[in-house]
Amino acid sequence: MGQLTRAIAKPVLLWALHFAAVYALISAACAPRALLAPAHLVLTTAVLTALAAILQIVWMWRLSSHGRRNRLGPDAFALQRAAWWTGLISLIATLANLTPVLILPGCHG
Amino acid sequence: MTERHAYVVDLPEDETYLGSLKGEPQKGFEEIWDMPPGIRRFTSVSHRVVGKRFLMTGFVFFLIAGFLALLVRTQLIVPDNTFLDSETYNQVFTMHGTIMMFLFAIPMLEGFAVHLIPLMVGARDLVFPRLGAFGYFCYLFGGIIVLSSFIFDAAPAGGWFMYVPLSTSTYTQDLSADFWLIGITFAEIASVTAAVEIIAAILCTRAPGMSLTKMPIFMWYLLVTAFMIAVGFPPLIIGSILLEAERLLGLPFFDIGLGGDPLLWQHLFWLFGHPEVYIIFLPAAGMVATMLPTFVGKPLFGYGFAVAAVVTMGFLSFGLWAHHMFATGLPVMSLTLFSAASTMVAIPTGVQIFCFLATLAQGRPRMDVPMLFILGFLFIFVLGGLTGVMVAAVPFNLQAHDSYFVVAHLHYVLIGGFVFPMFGALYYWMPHFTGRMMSDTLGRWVFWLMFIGFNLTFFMMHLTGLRGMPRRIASYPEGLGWDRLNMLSSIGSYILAAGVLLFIFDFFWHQRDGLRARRNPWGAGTLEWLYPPIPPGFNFHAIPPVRSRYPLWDQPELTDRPAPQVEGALRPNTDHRRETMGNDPVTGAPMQIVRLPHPTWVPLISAFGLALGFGATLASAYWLVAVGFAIALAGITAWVWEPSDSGVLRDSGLGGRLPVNVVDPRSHLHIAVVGTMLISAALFASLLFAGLYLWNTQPHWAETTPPADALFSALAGGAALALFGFGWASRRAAFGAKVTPVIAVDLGLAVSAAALGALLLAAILTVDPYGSAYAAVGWALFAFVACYLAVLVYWSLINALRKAVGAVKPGQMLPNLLISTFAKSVAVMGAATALAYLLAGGTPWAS
Repeated sequence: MGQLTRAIAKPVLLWALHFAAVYALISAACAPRALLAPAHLVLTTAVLTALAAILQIVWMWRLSSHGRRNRLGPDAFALQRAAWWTGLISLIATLANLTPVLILPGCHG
Repeated sequence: MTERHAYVVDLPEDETYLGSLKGEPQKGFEEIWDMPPGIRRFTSVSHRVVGKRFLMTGFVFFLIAGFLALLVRTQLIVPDNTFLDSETYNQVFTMHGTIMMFLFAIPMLEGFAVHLIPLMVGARDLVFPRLGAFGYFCYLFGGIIVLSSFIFDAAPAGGWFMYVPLSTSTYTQDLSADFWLIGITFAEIASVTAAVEIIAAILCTRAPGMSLTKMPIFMWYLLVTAFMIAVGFPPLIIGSILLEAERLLGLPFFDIGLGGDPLLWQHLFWLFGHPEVYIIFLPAAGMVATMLPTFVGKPLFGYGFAVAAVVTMGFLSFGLWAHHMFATGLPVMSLTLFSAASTMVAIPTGVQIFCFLATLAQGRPRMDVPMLFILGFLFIFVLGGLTGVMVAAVPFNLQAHDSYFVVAHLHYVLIGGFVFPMFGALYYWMPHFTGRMMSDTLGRWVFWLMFIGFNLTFFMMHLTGLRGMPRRIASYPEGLGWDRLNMLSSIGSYILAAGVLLFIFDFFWHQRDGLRARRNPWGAGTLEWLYPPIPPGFNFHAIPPVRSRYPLWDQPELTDRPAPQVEGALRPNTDHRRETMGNDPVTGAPMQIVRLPHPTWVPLISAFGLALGFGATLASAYWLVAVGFAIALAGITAWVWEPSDSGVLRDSGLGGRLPVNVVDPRSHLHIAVVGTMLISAALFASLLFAGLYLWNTQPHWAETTPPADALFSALAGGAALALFGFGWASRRAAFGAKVTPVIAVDLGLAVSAAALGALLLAAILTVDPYGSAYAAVGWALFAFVACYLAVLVYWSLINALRKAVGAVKPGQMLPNLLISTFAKSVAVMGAATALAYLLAGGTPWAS
């Protein structure tokens, strides 16, 4: 139960970290200090997104392999379902974080 | 007993325990929970009393803000109107927004939470009743401070968002902005204390057997909301303190001439402001998810989906803040990132709405008054959500920015998402507050007046907005195509107000002539309806074990006999104390007996002291500020100086014995400290964000600001390490059997904390706080950490003193567990500050 409860929080926490990282990278590239070149921004963000997405898919896969309702019991099954759907929504949101970096040619469009 | 209960050591034998240290043996169970008579009513800390106070006060603020809204609509009813002058109009719409957002919506949700959580999870009271009462008084006094600005003709007029530079002392020379900043910051204490209380109460005081997935779904919503408050409010608190420091002390945080940035305020404000919308919406959606199954007669469809939706909404809502800043010149790439996140939040919202629709589809709903408001919520909120997706798109947002389209959108979301469910909830749970049912006939009139009035008012605003009418204008010339739409909006607002007035009439009427509510009048399945809703002072004679999400539907032993005869935990009441069950946060297994405080003046005195301190700041009476804070400190000291029953084994009423206030990381007190440190971390992160933001956007000022002293900074890092070590030792000591030697650990904590503060001060002394915004943030970081270090010194000295005078016995070292977590967190913040001082000189990353 404890593990499944944590499994609900993990994917969204990862999304939050990913979002903060992408925001920080964009700020690093686009603010007056210009710490990061645009090419590096795309590469770094893509790598981070790929890593986060893979981790989220692995977590979802592990949740799926836990079993169905009759094996888990209703309590754990409800948590498992919540965790799996949290994972799916977080995965889509993580991929969405990548879109501005991919589709825009530079900081100012 | 689980393995972790091994932490309980050296419990005194029952035979030697002479009874509870604060028990009232002359009183029976119901007398112990009675409301104190006469003026001592103000000492009541019962969740029923505090919850009702929140609700009543919040509703009064709702009426005030609603009246201000009517003034706005009356001003705009015809072109070139002179009903209000421009300055008064600015004050009216500013106070309307401020009161609605800070003094109505959040406190109302707190009121529902405070009142309903114990009843729904099977507790006899909230886990920290004094904190709840303290929070209420802070809210009340803060609200009075904000409202009193009208008396001094200094009502804020800069919008509910207090944008700089308009709100700086250069452009707002009177006290209006100070009233806002001080009053609202003070009132926010209620929000953050409520967050801690909600988290600890839901996680730690559920009925035996109520695991996380057997909790009513409303508890998930409140839990997520509480975490959101814990993380979302701190940026505004920090922003408000920085802005007040700029106004009061001249520190240049937002002064563009000294390396400050007005956009920093907007970031801090909207880091709070956007999650705030979800903080308001989620509990209301939770109420809907609770009421809907009652009227459909079936459980909520997709409990797991709903949990997933509410958790993801809680997180995603923090990624939207800059969509309020699309027109400020941020890089397009940033805008697109926030646009993507804003669009993404529609997914969990949609999942949630589909859960509601699927529940509706499972049966034939009874169209009682609360159900009408639920349907109204679905209709209005979905429309508001759709326009939300529109304004999430950058090109559309730039077109609609600051137009009445946005006003329409936000009212569809907030009134649809909060006010309609709130009225439904008031009708639904009113028997708990008054013991009587409100009128069904009048309720239908209330609903239809509100529904028609609302849509007439705000649907028109979409059109006025698309026709180009900007918001916040006091008048407009005729012939622009806005005249008739504004007329209709104003008429709609009067109809809406008529609905609210009819509700007030019904509220007073039903208290005298309404039908007395029978047990479970709506046929609900949740635990709050176990007893007949005639307001008693107590909740449960015995706390029943729970095996279902809808125990009143699925557990016949709860409904086949009078409620006082239902079997459960804590019936014996051996020690004549207020007490409730404490549970494992995940499984709901009984873990401890939680002792609760009896009525006390302490919350009122402490809140009054703080109010005096805050209020005197406005009058620049600094001696009175000192007096106020001294009163608050005295009150809080009396609060914590309690005899301890911790560790004593008592009869649980479940066929075994459980320890009182156990020393365990899962205990309510430790969970509360973790929650407090989450808030503290968010406050600290907000300051770090401010520093990083200025460093990144104002590189010239960052490079030319003199660095902090490197040697003292490094030494401060060492002191932080020592503090962390003493924190670790304190945790070890908490589970030990020895008391007196632990005084050395307490003193070590105090000394290392004092040393860390002194070294950080020595490090930052080389920096002129008035030299640049960047330097001022450095000093703000020091001041912040210094406050925590002062608390740590005070707390560890009190712990040492309590041990020295024999107030602590073996097995009662819970304060050492608590201070350990606090000290380690403060040490991390101190170390991060020292590191920031070392790096902030600019050399490592200089461009």
